[in-house]
Amino acid sequence: MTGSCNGRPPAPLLEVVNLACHFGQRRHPLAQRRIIRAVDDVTFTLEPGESLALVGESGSGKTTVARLVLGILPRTSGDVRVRGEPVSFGDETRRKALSRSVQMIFQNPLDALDPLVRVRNQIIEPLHIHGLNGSGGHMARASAIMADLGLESTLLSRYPHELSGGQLQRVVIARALVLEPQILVCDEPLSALDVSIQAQTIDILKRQQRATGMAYLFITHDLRVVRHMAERIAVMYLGRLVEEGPVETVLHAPQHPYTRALVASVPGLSRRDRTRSVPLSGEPPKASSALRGCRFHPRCPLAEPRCRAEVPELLPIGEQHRVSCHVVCEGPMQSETLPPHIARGR
Amino acid sequence: MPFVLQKLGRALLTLWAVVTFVFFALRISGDPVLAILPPSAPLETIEFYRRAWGLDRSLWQQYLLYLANILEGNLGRSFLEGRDAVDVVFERIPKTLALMLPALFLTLVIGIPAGAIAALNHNTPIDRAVIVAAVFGYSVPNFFLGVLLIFLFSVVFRVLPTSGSDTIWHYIMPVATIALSWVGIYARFVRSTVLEVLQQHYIEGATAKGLPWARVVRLHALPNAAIPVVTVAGFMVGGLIGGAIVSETVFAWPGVGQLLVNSVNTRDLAVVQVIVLLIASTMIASNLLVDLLYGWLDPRVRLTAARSSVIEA
Repeated sequence: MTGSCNGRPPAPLLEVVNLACHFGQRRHPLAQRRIIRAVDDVTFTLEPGESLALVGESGSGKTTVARLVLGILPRTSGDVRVRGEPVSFGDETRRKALSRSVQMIFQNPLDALDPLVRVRNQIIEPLHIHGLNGSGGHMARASAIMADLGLESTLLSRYPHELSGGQLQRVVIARALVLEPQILVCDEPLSALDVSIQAQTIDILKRQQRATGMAYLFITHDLRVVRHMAERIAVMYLGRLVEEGPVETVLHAPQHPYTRALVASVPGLSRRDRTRSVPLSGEPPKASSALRGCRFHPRCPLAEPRCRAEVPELLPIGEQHRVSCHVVCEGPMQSETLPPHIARGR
Repeated sequence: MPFVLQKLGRALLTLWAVVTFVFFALRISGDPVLAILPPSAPLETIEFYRRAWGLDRSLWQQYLLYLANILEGNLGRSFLEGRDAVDVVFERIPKTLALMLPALFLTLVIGIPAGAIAALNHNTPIDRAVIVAAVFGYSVPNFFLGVLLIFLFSVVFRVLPTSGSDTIWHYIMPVATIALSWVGIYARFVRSTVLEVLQQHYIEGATAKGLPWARVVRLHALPNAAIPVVTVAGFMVGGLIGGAIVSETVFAWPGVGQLLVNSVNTRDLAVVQVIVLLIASTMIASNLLVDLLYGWLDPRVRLTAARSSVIEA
């Protein structure tokens, strides 16, 4: 709210540049470390008042991106900057400062709350942490948020397990909002809730965004939710962005073969161009370093030899629309140069 | 209130089952008169003692008489010493507690920090060192460790006495023997509990709120981990009196455990029964205590108890 119109244009609110997070994994103590690239070369920006949906299957690295943005997980390389200030994992002072601008709401609200602490104290705890409990303005705003979210005082003196899922999610939202963050990272905030509560929660989130001008990084696997919540969408597959653009463009005319399959798998979502999409089969492989070239090539109906050798870059193909696919960006190769089993598959 | 009554009822039922089992097991497995008198004793003498100790009646009559006596507060006499069995047992309790309380103290004071530190340094050399020490501690059997300590410190280095309970030096090896396995078990338990709590999303949530890590641990991780840790400590208190059987035997320590072993050997029925009753009672009492503690520590349990009592009422 404060930052959206202060006349300092240069740095975007949230800037993620070539972000990578790799985990070492050993099958047994003597084995060589297998590198899992949970997040690899992810770049995007987020402006005040904007909602960016980060979508992908489970294991695609979207939650890891969220943790990296919050600075609660160490990154391997790349940068996360909030208003030009770099986010770092180790530095507690800086992370504390950052937590005033970036907050998070979680998939399962019951897990996200300490079972031994009364709900009110959990909502107010961030104010204590940041030494704001004395300032009347913040306390008043906290009560206003709780009232606004329909959290009655009788609920507030209870313990988390005594509340319903919808009430708990509102508690988690209230806890995130008391610090008046500029960015709210929402990690699958709806998937653990009943459908009726989902609609209510979407409503709350949109109302709060209109009132405060917060930016949302909305992580989900549900494309139908994306339409309600976000203007922009970024699709992840095995740790990499494969397509990014305005929601309407991407959902109505998806370009990347993975996005196409994803959109086609949701009935009633896409309007045209379903002919070239093939339903996805099989499980996504592990994002290990053994996988060369485009991460999607083993499951891709358009795969060509270069897809196995070269990692495609995320290239603009339309207004604010970027795709990472050799075939889509540069056109297919001559079909006689294809090896026979791939030519047959097309 | 019905909650407490239900617990008490269950406790009494458990006590009855234990007493009954021990009563029959002891009498079926051998004749106390033959165990105490020399093999050359004349038949009249054997018959005399049988009648004197009430062993000539049928098993059922003996059992009912025994139960009736318990209800009157009479737990029988020691066959060997001719004194009240309760006195024989109770005068041994201080000696046992003198071993067990220091061992329990060491367990809590070493085990809790060791486990917590290992968990907070998960997968580092510190963590691995704690695990290795803990596994060593609880996998070495008590009787072996006791004998090993005697060999090292009494036979080879000649610095500590092998048996008895007269000076402070006598305490070192028995206490160490008991504490070592306990510390190992407890450190591992604390470690896994803290690790589990650290993986919870509310820890991540607290971190995301901007709380420094040290305070995340102090305010959110440790209180949640404390619940199971306190529970297990409660059960250890319940095992205090009966827990030193092996160590007391190895170090000839005149406590309840040694008395139990001797009394079983000599078929001193009343004494064995009193000891078993005592161990069962302390176990049950500590269980009750743990239940109450749990309700006090964990709001989730508090609610369950309240709800179940509403249904019963």
